[in-house]
Formats: sequence, C-alpha cells, structure tokens
Amino acid sequence: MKHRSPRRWVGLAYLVLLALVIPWYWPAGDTRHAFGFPLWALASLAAVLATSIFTAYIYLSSIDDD
Amino acid sequence: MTDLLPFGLGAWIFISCYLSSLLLLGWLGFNARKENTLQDFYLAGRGFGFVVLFLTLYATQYSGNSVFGVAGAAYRVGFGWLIAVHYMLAIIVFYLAYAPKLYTLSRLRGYLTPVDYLKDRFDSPAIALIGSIVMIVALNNYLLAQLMTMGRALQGLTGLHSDLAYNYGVVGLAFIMLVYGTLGGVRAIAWTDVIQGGVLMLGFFVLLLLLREQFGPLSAATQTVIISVDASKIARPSGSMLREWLSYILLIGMGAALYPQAIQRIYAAKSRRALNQSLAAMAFLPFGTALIAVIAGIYALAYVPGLEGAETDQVLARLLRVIQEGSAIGYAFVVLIFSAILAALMSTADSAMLSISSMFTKDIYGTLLRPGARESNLTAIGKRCSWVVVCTLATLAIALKDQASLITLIDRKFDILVQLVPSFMISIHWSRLRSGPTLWGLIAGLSIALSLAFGPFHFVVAGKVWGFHPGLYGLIANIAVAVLGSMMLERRVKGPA
Repeated sequence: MKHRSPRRWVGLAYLVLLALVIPWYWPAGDTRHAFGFPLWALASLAAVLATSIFTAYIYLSSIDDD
Repeated sequence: MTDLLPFGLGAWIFISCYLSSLLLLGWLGFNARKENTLQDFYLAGRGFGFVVLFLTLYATQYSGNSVFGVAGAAYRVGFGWLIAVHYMLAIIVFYLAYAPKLYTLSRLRGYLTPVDYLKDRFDSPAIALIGSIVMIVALNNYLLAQLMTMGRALQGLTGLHSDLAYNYGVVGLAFIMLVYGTLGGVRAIAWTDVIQGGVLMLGFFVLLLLLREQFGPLSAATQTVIISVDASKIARPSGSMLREWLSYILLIGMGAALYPQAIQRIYAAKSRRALNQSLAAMAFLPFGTALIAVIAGIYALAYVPGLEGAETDQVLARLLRVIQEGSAIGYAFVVLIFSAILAALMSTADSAMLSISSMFTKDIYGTLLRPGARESNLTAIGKRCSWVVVCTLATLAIALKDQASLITLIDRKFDILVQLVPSFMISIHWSRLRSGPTLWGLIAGLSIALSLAFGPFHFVVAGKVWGFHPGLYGLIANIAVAVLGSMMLERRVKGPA
C-alpha cells in the first residue's frame, strides 16, 4: 500500500470555505439582487461552487491513495 | 400533491409503464443473481461501476423531501433556505472524512453492513448493538416519511381527494417497491435507481424550464416578493438564522454521510476509482436539485402567496397545477415531473428498506438470535424482514397521516445518527480510540441529544438551543468522552513516566 502524508491544508481550506459559505459578512437588510438572486445569496452560492470544485479535485486527485 | 388536477388516462398509462419497468428490473435483477448469498443480494457482488454507482447514490440521497420539503421551506423562509444547497454538498464533503478509507477496508475485510466495521474496529458487542439500533431507528423514521409522502403524492391525482386515495398510494407503491426490492436485491434497486435518477434529473431540469416559461424570469418573481409583505424573505438571514445554517451544515452533512444505505453503496463500489469519480460528480448535484427546489419556493412565494402551516409543503403542487392548466404540453411535463417525484420517493425508500433488512438479518438475527445460520437461510430471512418492516410502516403511515411536517420528521433522525461520528469518522483515522470510552461517549451523546430534543426545557426553542440542533451538543460531549477517555486510558496503561 502506498502511504502519503495527510494533507492537513485540506481541513484548513474547508474552514475558509465554510466561513465564506455562511454570509455573516454581508450587510443585514440588503435586498439588492441580480439574476433574481439577492447579492448575498450569489456570494454564498459562489463559495458553494468553489467548495464543489475543490471537493471534486480532492476526490479525483486521491483515486490512487490507500 | 392534493392541489393537482386529476390525471387523465394517458398520464396513468405513462405512470403505469414507469412502475412496470421497475417490476421488470426487479425480475431481471433476480435472474442476474450469481449466488444465493448475502453479499450478492445486498452488495450485488461489489460490482457497481461509475455510472450505476453515481446514479444510485444520487437517487438514494435525493428523497421526496428534496423536492417537497425544500420548496416548502423556501416558501416559509425565503432565500435563507439556500442552506439546502449547502447541506447537500456538506454530505459529500463529510464522505471525504471516511468513505475512501472505509472502502479499502471493506474490500480487505469483507464488510456487508455498516456494523461489520464497528465489530471489526472495536470488538465490542455493545457498540455494535447500539450502532445497529441507532441506524435502524433512523432509517425507519426516514422510510416512514417517504411512505407518507407517497400517500400524499397519489392523493390528489385520483380525483377522490380522500383518505382512501392516500391509503391506496401508500399500499400500492410500497407493494411495488417490495416486489422488485425483494426479488432482485440491491442489484435490482441500483438498476431502478439508474432509471429513477435519470427521471429525477430530467424532472428538475424540466421544472426549471416550466417555471420560467409559465411565470417569467426569477428576477421578476424576486421583485414581486420585495414589494410584498414577504420582503424580509429576500434579505440576508439574521444572526440566529445564520447559526442555524451552520447547525444544518454540520448536522445533515455528518448525519446523512452516515446513512447505512450510503455506506453500503460505498462497499458495493467496483473500484476506488469508481467511488471517487461518483462522489466527485455528486459534489455538483446540489445545484441541479436543491437549488431548483429553492427557486420553485421563491416562485411560489411570488405567485401563490398566503399559504401557511402544513399547506406550505404543498407549494410545488400549487405551482404545478397552474402549469397543468396552462397548456397540453404543460400538462404532459407535469406528468413527467410527477414521475420524477415518485422516483425520488421510491428510490430512497427502497434503499432504506434493504438496508434495514440487511442490518436486522446480519447484525441481529445472524449474530444474536441464530449464529451460524446458512447464507441462503439469512437471505430468505432478510426478504421476510423487508415485508414485515414495510407492511408495519405502511400501516403506521396510514394511521399517522397529517401528524407532522416533513422538515420536523427529518430533524430528529440526524440528531441520533451524528452520534456515530466518533465510531466511524474518528476511529478510522485514529487508532488510539478505545472501545470503552467510545461506548460511553455514544451513550452520553444519545442521552443528551434525545433529552434536549424531547425534554421540557424552556431554553429549547423550535427544537434548537441557541440555533443549534440538540444532536450537535450531544456530539460535543460524545467526542470529548471518547477522545479524552481514550487518552486517559492510554496514560493509565503506560503508567507514570
């Protein structure tokens, strides 16, 4: 079996993404919107998309790990 | 679905063909069996490649609640229920914590049920038994919710709008599911999942197109909501709601990643490559499912305002009725979407049914009641167990109709499932985790989660404490006992330096 050092930065990256996914940083009461979505929702969805891409990368890059 | 117009003959023929194809696949799965063993019946000989594994994971993970519950919650909460997109992705992220490693172990050690890992890792009958009970209870809750939604789904379409139609819906669909599930086992269920997953994916896509065609762009719907009494549902969620976001991400992310039927899909993968590719593809599905359900809820908020309470779980049906009345093509597409909803319900329910029967047969009957029983005997017991469980739950679904909203039903099972996080996600990486502290942590976590959830505490508001689910408080105590206890035991064994 091939052993690789655990990628500790993966956990850290997820924590950063989690902080961006929850829109605590957006001003409360803001109802501006684009394409039908409030801007805070678009920011949150962009962070979710980044999480999806990152997650897919981790899965695909660790296919041969054991 | 009680608000839909009754379907005509053509629609019923289409739905009958769809349901018949499931029975046909059950029969084909029965003929394709290679041996009369538990491994063949419950894991299809561990032969799922990328396409089958991806679609069976998809169809199993996205249940009836993904369609009805999420649209209803978005109607009640507004864009704040985008959290559904987040927690569906969180499930895939939490798989990363243990699924690939568990797959490798399952190949080496021949695991069949999730509890096989617990037995192998801890050598503790108590952890195995409690693990079985937690999973079986959570799955029964889940299966009951799917059966109740099946009844509601069929209720309006017959034109009777009566309890009788609900009862026929529950009994008829449960019977079809039982026939194909017990004939062909997980092989038949995965094959039906390929059809169901395909129909579900197509159904969501068509729903999005129909909403735009019928009501105009989403921006117009959002603008309508902004100038209505529901304007607050467009604004960023409040601080307490954001705490709930975090709670849902953690609770459903970890809890649903530990669904026994999902763990058995991991075991059934043909290769590590097929598993990782399937999970990588699953990371993008929340955008094609949960997000569309939220958008449907926003359209309903704009164009079908004023619904309250349990009626809000029917918002999708209200929208579909408007589309149904609009044109013949709209009517035809609503039939397709209805089939997709049936697919979501049945594909989740059949997997839960098979998982319950495998755990009862292998972990309880084959271990405690009749150790050493032959494989063919255990397989027969498993099939009988499926019939008993589904018949009992169908009776309950009929007796308990109109008792609880869909979201209420899903909340509690995750509170108990997450207590298995140390036993699976921590133990698989940390060899120093001991069985004694893990057992006491599990008991402490379950006690705290259930006490907070059902106890008469004034500080528990809407089932949560300061916006967080009881299961998470239980999990913190659970992890503390398991980890600190293991470290203390290790120190005691080593003795003073």
